[in-house]
Amino acid sequence: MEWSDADLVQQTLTGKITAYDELVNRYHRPVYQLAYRMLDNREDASDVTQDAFLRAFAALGSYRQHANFLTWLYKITSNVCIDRIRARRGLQPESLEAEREKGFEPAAGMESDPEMLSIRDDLEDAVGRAVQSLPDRYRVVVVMRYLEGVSVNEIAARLAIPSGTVKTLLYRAREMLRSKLRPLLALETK
Amino acid sequence: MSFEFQHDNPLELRCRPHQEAIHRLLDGELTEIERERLTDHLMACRHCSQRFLEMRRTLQMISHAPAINPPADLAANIQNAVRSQAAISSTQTNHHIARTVTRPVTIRNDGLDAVLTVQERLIFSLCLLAAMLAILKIPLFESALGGLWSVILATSQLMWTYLTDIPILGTLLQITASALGGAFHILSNAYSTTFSGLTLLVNLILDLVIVLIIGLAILQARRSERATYR
Repeated sequence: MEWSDADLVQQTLTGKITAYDELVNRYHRPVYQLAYRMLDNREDASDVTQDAFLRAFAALGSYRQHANFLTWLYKITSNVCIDRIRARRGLQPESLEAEREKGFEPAAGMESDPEMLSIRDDLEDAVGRAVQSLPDRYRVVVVMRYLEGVSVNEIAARLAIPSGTVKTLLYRAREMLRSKLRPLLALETK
Repeated sequence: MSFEFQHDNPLELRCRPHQEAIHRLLDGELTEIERERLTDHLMACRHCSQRFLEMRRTLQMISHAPAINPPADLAANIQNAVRSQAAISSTQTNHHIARTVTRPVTIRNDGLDAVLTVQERLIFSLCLLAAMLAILKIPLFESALGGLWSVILATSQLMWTYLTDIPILGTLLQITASALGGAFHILSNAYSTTFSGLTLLVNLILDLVIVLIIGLAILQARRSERATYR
């Protein structure tokens, strides 16, 4: 018999630590995936995954049974990731001019990127790389919006920035990704 | 909100509002009228329709990005870290029992798979003691019902298991029990020699003790409730 997440949480709360082991076995992969997509670093992703599960364990009493456990875990994970990224640098968008100076111009396509051209036969891998190549603040909103499935308003609340800023970040990020992937998209349609 | 626009073909300025509309469509923000207007434009403009399809396909691919395998020992490392944290929490609980009395304490030695707080154990034990003394009054003054002793003994053993499981308090109880045992021996001697004279006094004392114990149980229950909802 397979226990539901809510059952396992309840068992953990009554002191059965092996129930939490099962939750770790079930969800460490998607949590790691989210952390890796946000941080673009395998070691950091492992640290954050462990940190997220420890925080969830400590806060298990506040988990509401009707909520989806993975969604709750994702929220904790993305908060840990955001703290780490904030420690590196801010999440506010810079002007397009500043970004162009740094080489993040949206129109900069893959044609000039030999590394990306070398993997054109693996479109999905290229998508992953394209997301990883985004600057932190863009990558965070893209991952939260399209991998985690969080609404714009929820992203704004979690990042403590206006929802208009989130939309701007998403807009620019989508344009950057489209430009980077455009040659592969053209190949796909041929 | 206005977006800074980066168009592939700067000459097609008429497409600019529709490019913004594509993004707003992807954000789920277009009204029905705006959506119809955009659809009409996409039907007519090959450039914008291609851009829309590229954007939509890009987002589809992002949503289905390939899985990244975590390190093989990650789950085991997390499980070990959780166990360490649980052990630290448990140690801290024992050292600060007075301040963390509402933390769940697993019952040991009684075979029950349940959790009671220290207050709940104390309240339960005090209630058992009150019940035991109330029963004790019957054989004392009715001089019968000897079978009740087995009930009393079983109850007191269960109560003892609960009480001695509590750190610090358990030790104090064992010391107190030794002292009370001596006192009870003296009292029972006195009772047997001066049965008629002391009957009324012992009855009164037992009544007072029962009332006192019930009062203590109520007090503990109220403290426990306040601590739980603080």
